[in-house]
Amino acid sequence: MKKSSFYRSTNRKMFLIFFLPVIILVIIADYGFTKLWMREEVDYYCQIMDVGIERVDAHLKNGDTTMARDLLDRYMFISDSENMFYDKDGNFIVGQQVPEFIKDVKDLELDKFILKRNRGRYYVIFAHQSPSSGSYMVVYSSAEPLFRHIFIQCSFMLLMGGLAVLLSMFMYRKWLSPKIKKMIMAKERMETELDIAHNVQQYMVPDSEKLNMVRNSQVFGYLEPAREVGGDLYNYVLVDKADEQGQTTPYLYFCIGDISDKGTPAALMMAIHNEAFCQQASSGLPLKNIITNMNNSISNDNRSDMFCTMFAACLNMNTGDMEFINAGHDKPVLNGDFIAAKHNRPIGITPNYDFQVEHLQLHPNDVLFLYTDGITEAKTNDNRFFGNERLLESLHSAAPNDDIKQISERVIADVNAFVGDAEQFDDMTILTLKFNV
Amino acid sequence: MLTVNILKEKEQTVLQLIGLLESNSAAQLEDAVAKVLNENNTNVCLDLEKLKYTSSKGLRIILSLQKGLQAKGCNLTLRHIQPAVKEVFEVTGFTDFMDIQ
Repeated sequence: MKKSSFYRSTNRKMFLIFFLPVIILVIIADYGFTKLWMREEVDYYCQIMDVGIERVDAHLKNGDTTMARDLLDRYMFISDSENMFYDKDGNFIVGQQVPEFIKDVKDLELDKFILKRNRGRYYVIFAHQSPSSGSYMVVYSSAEPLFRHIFIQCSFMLLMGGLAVLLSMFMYRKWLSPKIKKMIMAKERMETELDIAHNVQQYMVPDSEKLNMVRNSQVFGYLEPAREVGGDLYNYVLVDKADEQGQTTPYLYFCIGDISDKGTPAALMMAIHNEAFCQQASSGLPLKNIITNMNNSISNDNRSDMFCTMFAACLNMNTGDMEFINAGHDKPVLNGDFIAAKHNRPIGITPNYDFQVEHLQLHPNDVLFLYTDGITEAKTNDNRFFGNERLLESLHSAAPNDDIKQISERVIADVNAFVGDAEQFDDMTILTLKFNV
Repeated sequence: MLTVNILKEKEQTVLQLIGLLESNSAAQLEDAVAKVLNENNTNVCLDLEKLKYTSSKGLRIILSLQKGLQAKGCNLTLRHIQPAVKEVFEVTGFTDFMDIQ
């Protein structure tokens, strides 16, 4: 409702501000200037008449020929014997007929220029009666005042232009504007929905951009989609597992993943993977079972051919023993160096794939840095990639007492500084963990 | 950004990829793949000699192509793969199930 009244008032405003004054101006100017110019025209005619009469007077007694001069400075010779009108060059001339508005030729003054006005046109008439035959000959020339003529033409054009604009405005409002309105509304609705989706996606991952303490370890996650929503994910779940003696051990399940696409389609897949991981991790399943289950459920009927590269791990918070599966994901960085990890296939490609589980021993204050290829493959406008080396450099430049939030934010800042004003190309995600601080 | 040339070569169709295969340019490859899958019933070879980079979206299209071909009983081979692209294939485990020559 708000929108439609806005459009209506815009049209009305445009009309009032622009077209109405133009039209009023045209009317006033037409009236005023015409009056003024008409007077000038009349004076001009009179001058010509005076000259003409003088000349006629001077030539009247030239045998049986009467000479007249019209507005266009044409001289007319009226010959009694021929009853014809010629100009001074002997050409047949216009205006032999009596103007229609003159009822009776006999009423005209003879051998004299007469100025008559009829319906906005001016007529200069010269009438002569042949002494031999007694018949009347009338020559006249008619004209519209020139300025008025031009002005009428211009006003007409302006008026037509205005009408055309009004018509197009009308058509715009009647047919086009509702369509545009609909499109704008659809676009806005989509944008609103995507904004909401963006927030929903941010809620799906734990505390993005906040430094979290899980038991005595620091965890920091960062998720920045290239568009409103994206196909990257990270998550972590703390689970207390009880052994047979009833002793509980805290395990931190965590993962970072990248769907092989971006935008909304990837975001839907991201939600599925994220939820599947969290649910199964919460129930304390072994890591291999979690990843295998996810892979089977997704790859069995994967018509979109989207897949997910994922680094998933399960960390014993007491001992620092970490088992992990690298399902086709980028190499993780431990204390500033890449660690070799087997290349399993991504999730969602091969059903019943046998994922290889590896082990890593974490020591107190070890920093594990996980990321997606949006970081290393961040690209400048001239197609240079941020790359692994710059990533390591950035990590090495951290001060010894920096917490992992500062470390991660430095990487993000370095990436942003590197790409400059290039558009963000891929989703960027980071998950950093500092063990047993 | 990406040029895809479709060439006929003996018994197989060759898709020559030139440039960068990334999300913004993946549409060209998607179109070419759809065309090849629709029109031909031959083995397909991807010539990656001049492909400098591929994103995960590009891998997805290559995976689609392989699946589509396998459904028709045809094969996909990749040749002249460059180190930068090969690394992406290795990291994602694609080297396991792609026929790379």
